[in-house]
Amino acid sequence: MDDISLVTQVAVFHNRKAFDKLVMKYQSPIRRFFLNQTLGDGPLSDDLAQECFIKAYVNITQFKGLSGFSTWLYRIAYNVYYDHVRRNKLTSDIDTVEVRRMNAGQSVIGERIDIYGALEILSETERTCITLQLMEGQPIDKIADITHFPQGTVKSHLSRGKQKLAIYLKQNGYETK
Amino acid sequence: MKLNDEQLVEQFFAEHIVEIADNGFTKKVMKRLPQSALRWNKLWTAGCWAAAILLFFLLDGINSVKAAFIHVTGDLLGMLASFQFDSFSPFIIYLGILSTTAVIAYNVIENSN
Repeated sequence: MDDISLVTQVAVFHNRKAFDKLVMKYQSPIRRFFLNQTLGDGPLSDDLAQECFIKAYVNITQFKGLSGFSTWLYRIAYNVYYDHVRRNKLTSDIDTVEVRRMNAGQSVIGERIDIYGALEILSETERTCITLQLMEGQPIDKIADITHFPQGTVKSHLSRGKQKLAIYLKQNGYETK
Repeated sequence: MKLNDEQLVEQFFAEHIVEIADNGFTKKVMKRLPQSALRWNKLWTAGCWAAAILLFFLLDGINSVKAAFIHVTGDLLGMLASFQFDSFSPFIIYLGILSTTAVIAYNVIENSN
């Protein structure tokens, strides 16, 4: 069944089995999105991902089908993450980020220190845009839809983020294959 | 071939994309879903059933169903009575049995697959 059919089942008939299928389909990319934003904090990512899916279920009737379901879901995930940041008044200063990295390192899934070390050098918005494009495969217009940034702003974040990452990778000896 | 900076970054991220196993995550989400929508759904379904049963008896549904059953049965019996088996050749009967068997076998195989 495609996403629209499943969403219709949930919205009209409150079909929980249909929503179960949607969660199973999107749990990996959404959890990965949160892992990247939280720099590898597994438990926090899972909490935020659960919150994201619950919000999607409660507000399912607001999905109009103008964008794809995945875009709508990423938009909810983006809002959940930045609500969490505002609630916890997280700043982007080095000490706070370093403390998070130290805590996150305990619960990193697999060997992902490298990726989070690279993502750490970016600002929050650069990290969001870069991961949405390069890890979740979202085009620029969808990223603009998800983040409510103009497309020009998204392009700027992507360009700046990639420049920083290229320098970081070269400095750390990352070679082309 | 040396990659430019953008390709370097893209290659790095492409190497680090992982699929995250469910490991009970979906189950946890489903347990946390609010139940209020389900209650409203059950109430609505019960209401529709009650209205349907009420209308069935108010509009003399029993006699309508009885009449429909008698008509259908009558038509079926009439059709069977008008059947003349001696007008069919053995080949036609054999073809009919073979076709029916083939359809049944196909459905059994499909269901077992």
